[in-house]
Amino acid sequence: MRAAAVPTLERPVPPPLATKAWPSLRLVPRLEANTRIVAFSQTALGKLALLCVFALALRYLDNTWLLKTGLVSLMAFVPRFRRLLVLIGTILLTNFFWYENGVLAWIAVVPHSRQVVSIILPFVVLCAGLMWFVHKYRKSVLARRPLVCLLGIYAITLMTACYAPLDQSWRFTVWAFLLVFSNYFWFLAYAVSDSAMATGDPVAHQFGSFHPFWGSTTVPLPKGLSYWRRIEAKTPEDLAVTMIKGVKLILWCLLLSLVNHYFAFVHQKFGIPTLPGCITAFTQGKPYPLVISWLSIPIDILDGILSLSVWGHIVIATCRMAGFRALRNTYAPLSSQTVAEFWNRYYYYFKELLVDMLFYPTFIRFFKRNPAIRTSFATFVAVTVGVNLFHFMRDIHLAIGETLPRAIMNYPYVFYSVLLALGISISQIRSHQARLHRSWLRTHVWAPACVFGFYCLLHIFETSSLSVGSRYLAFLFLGR
Amino acid sequence: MNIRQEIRDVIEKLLRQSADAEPFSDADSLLLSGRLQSIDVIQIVLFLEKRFGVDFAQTGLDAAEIDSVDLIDTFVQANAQPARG
Repeated sequence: MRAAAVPTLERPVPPPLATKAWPSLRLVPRLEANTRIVAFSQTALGKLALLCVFALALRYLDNTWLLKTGLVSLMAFVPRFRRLLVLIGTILLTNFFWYENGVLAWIAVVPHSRQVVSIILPFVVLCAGLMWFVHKYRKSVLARRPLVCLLGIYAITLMTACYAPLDQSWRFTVWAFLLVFSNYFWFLAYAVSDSAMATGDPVAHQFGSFHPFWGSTTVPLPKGLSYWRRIEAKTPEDLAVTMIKGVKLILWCLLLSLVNHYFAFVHQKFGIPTLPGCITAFTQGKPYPLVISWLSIPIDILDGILSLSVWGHIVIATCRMAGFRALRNTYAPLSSQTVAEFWNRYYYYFKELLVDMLFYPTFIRFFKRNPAIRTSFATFVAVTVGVNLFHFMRDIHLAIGETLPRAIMNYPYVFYSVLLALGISISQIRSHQARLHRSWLRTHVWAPACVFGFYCLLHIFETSSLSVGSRYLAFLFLGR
Repeated sequence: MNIRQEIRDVIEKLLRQSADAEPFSDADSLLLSGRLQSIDVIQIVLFLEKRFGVDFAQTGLDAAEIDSVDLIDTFVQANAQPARG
């Protein structure tokens, strides 16, 4: 279970479904279940105490801790202005409106940087216009199929950037526009979907969710506003519980960051290079010894899991302190018993993005007579199309100066995504019932080890092309 | 068997498969709280299609609309096809 809900009991609770064979071990106590602590956390003093602990921990993890603490403090004491404060925070922490620092810096080194403003404004107008349109015309194609329409707009812009007879200045403008579009594409997809609902939030609030101040990548954390509405604290008690969970998570994150810091010494102390380092050495004809080459794979993955966990926990803990009870982004992936479960636990909001945007829409429309084919097809669409589309758009800057076909040909994730889709599909189809009757050793040791082994091999193809990856795999197994 | 009890049975079965032995009330969040996953949504969708003739291609699938027993019950009342329900 990722996170427990506050029970809202309207009828007598039935007895437990089953008796657990093993008592669950909790490293972090369930403070949010203690009524006295929750009651204290609702007082001004209690809120201050929580905010102080949060600030002290965040100070060691995030350079923008002061501003973030200030924002969540305001939200804790004046929760009715929460959405406005999120928008203000998002504007403040993205330097210039919600135009991301990194992109701004990247564009600034390119000639014609004076056009930055002329790129932002049209994009804001485009976003606001799309949201207004779907809100007004809820039965329009854009409202019913927002992702397809947005992809259409994106494709037209990409074609224009690549092939339209434009002078250098205009071509730069279109490319810069496309970079911004790519950076906000999935945020806009959620926002347009939400605006099409009768209960959708106003446009200004939607902009607050475009790279919100607590942090995100090109994956919206945690999803869009329709999700925010459902996880937002509605009562003082709800807010207290959410903030306690936020403080617990940031403290756990502090501990993990310490582990992560010392884990980095593994590479240096024992002379174990990273997996890309091993593959580069192999392609140069000077491979590392087999033991080192094998060891580098799990160490590389563990390193990635730790880094992703620390980053995700900072984001979600800040989000919780702001009053949104979001689930963690990474949750004990090494305990996963299936490939699908690992995928769910490793980068939850990326998986949710693919599920919301591609899996569900495909699942409800195709192969409705055969559940197995239906599930597999939807999984293949979500994972192969989704993973490739997401990464292609994220890395669209690599296509600048290349022809579009060459950029697509050089794209590295195709084989990786097919293998991943295959693994997830098979694990989804396999029976749950069979897993329930396994021994403890098989459930908690053997199955997680096999899942981890699968992702270790998959990681090779995530890191290198199909041809290099295949040759490296042959080297690992055959020693040459 | 009434609709609500049928829905509870399906949810109980899904929770058992996840080795989740915690009790749940009809109002408890199951998906947004993380107790059930997207793979479980598939099972709920298949059940609602088969038992109540719900056409998700028409209604659309928003997991939050089937987040609790109460919400599923409301959803079924609004979208069940009378011929099959």
